[in-house]
Amino acid sequence: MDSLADDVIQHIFSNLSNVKDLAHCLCVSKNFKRNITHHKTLCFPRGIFDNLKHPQTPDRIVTQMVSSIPRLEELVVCCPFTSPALASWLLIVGSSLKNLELFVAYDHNNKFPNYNLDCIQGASRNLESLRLWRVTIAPTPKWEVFQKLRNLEINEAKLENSILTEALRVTPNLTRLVLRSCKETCQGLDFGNLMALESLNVRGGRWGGDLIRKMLRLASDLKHLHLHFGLVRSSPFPDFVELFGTLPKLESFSVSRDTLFFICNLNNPKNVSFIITCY
Amino acid sequence: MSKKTLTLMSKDKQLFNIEEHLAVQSVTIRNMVKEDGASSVIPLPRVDSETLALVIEYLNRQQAPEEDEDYVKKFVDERGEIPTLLELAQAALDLDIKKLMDAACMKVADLIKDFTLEEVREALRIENDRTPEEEKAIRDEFQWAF
Repeated sequence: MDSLADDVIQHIFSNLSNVKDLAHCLCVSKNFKRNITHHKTLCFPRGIFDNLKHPQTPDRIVTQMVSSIPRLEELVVCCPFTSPALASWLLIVGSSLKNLELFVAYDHNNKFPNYNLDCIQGASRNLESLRLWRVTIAPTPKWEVFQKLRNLEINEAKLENSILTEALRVTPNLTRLVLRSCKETCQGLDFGNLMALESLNVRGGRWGGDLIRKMLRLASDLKHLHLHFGLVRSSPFPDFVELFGTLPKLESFSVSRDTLFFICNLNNPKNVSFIITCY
Repeated sequence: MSKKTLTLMSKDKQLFNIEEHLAVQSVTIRNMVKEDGASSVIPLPRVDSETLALVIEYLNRQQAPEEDEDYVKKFVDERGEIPTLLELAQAALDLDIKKLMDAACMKVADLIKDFTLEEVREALRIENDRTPEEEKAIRDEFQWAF
């Protein structure tokens, strides 16, 4: 049988998302090791390197794969890694990378390991989406702006006011912001410019009503608002009239039970159930 | 006015008729029609008759544009054998029918995942151009993937 056109094989390889399958592609022949050109995504799931033999380490393998694929656009690292290794990957792919997702596992004491993510600055030119699990970026005032960053997700991280303020300062064109289960109460925060924001999703953590009010006033072009956090103990929360009045472009809105009761000032939530559906 | 019909010829010299407005979903055929009117038979020297029949079946579909994605997925799913899909992908490449090419390649990728290295080579008809020493070296380099 005739051999297949390289383009067909490249196209097939470009659909493989599992990094082990991709490694097989690099091994099939010399020709294909040189020519993995269609591939844009690398994903290292949790646990993929749990049974490595010395001297292999997740850092080395990610480096090996990142160096094998020119012009990588998406890098997802959920296996353990170190900050210096991340810095070296971003040196290799920083100029082409569009999506970066980093997941940090707890260390042996069930605490967040300390990560220095300053090197993310190296990908500032083209990065469009940054999703962080259990780590936060701590930009310093000398950071350059991530002009193209549209999507920022910070999940399960310890979040201080100053960090979020700076993070929002360097991402002026954000259209989607997700803050999920962030550990600190953010109060008295200066959000700066949220004019471009279209979607705001706050899940978990404790958030004050004044803060949400301030955020919504700045993000007046919001189309999608999702508020799913627990108890809000501080200042009064904006009511529905105020909420929807400040957001003329709102298309979808969802709210958790607890947040809803807070908005409605309901004292005895157990006896109430209702559904609001908007089209 | 009757609809214009084109004739396509497979590698094994079988002739297939197809209405021109459907055939021009193939960018290759569209360009040929533009250039010389394609009045005579269009030869497709790399596409066998079985595969060409499938391509014609695909081009002849009567689908609303919004249902098209589902249709092409179902179309390749129903022909889930790797050799058939590879021929289909190769034909879609030659004829420049992007959706069919994408769907066929995606389906093959789905089928070969979790294959061993030898199985990938065999399925995709890739010749191993390494010496045994080079083969050992590359397997050591990518030890974690085996």
